[in-house]
Amino acid sequence: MSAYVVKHNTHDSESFDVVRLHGSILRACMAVRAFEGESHDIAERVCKHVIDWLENKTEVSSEDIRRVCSSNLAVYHPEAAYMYEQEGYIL
Amino acid sequence: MHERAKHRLLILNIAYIIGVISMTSLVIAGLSAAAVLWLPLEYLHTAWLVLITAALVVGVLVMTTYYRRGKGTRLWIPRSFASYLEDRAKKTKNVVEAGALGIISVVAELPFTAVLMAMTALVLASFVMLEDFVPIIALYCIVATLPLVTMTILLAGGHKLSRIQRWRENSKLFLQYAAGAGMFAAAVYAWVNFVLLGGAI
Repeated sequence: MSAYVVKHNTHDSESFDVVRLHGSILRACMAVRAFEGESHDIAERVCKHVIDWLENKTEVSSEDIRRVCSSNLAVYHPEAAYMYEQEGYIL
Repeated sequence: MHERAKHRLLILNIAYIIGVISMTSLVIAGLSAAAVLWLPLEYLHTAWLVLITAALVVGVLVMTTYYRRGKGTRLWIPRSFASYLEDRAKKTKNVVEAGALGIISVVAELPFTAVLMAMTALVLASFVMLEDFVPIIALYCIVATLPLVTMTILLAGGHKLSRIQRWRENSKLFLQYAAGAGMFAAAVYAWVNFVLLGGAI
């Protein structure tokens, strides 16, 4: 898996960073008061789904990642998925 | 959420509110001092007319553009300010930084709040004795920070951030019309009381 992610605002391209995605999911889970262990577990599972989805792709947009991640996160924690979707849209 | 994390969040919220209160009171006190020192009495009427017109314009702007279109609750504050605040708010663990964020957020919202602050300053400069400035500025700060205090109490009481954000998103039209209507009400009150009747508070 060596997909490139095109950023929504700047249209810059960068390689997919799973650690960053893990951090975003973790923050969303913690924001809805999920326990730390549970948050890490959910983040790991969702990251795995996203990596699987990226397997046969070379370039995707950051919005695609957000959409796929959010739909998978909704399975494990709908409230966290809502907060993840709202990231960057709150202020 | 862990008790310690909850406690930390509460402390950061309180520091943020203190930052907002400090900056709001400084802006009003500064504007009042400027009005006392540099606004001649014969221009008071003109100053009220300018502020009332500005309040009506800002009222219309608040009603139409306070929240950006689309999903979420993005405000019409400069994007660089918004992304800076959002980015720092996620990362801050320090009470001093939380207070500084409160100060910056007041500056970022000045395009929408400056008129009301200037009106308050003009009332203070025109009708209020110097020793009564502090309680009136304190009253303004209490009213201005009431939503923030409510939010802090809700979070401290165990309400989820997602629930509060969902309420904000669902009620954003109501909130912006209410804020705009508030500006109109202030403009009408100032027009009748200070321009037509030339009266005191």
